[in-house]
Amino acid sequence: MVSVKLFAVLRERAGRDALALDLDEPATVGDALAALARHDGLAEVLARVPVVMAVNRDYADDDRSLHEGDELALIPPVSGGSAR
Amino acid sequence: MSGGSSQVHVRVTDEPLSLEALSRAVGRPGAGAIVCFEGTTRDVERLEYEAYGEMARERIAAILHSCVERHGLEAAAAEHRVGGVPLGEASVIVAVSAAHRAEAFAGAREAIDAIKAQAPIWKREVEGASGEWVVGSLPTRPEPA
Repeated sequence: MVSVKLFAVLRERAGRDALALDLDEPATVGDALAALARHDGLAEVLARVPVVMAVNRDYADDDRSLHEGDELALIPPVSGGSAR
Repeated sequence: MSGGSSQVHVRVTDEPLSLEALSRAVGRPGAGAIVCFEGTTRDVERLEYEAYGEMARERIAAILHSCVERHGLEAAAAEHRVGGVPLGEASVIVAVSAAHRAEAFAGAREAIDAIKAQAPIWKREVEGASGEWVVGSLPTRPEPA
């Protein structure tokens, strides 16, 4: 069981700032994202908002493996992206 | 948080930011140039910022350390405000010092561009009782060291 932090539009749509996720081990970031996309509170918003995952406060690729106690967070698009 | 080095200062706070204080914080005996950037709320009653605080601090510190190294800066500092930021007030300030202005301008430009592209910070435009998340871009990964 891992806890996933939610922010901004994801937090608002899910109605909470974190949710618990049950994963079969060994699990990767991609497995976690797939499980979150099936989650009741998040399925609708994740179908239209792209996200990346952070593991222990670093952006992580889908093949990154997860371990007990990792700090997971879903990162929707950040607001300052353009250099205008 | 100091970022583990006296050359770098980072703060994510719900208090108003001070350009003067940050400019003073990067003053060094060997610095002949200080460049400050201030990003302010425009065209809307207020912006509301939300941050993944711990990660934002770590990412911004890493960005500033990289800018110090790449541009030979004397010091680099950045502060980002969270919560409501009314029209005209600063949401982010970057200040860097260097021996000469060329590296100070280049270092400050790189720092603010990278902070905006990589820091996990989100904003909502608020007018009266209604608000809307600003659609941004997925964060870019830091360049390999």
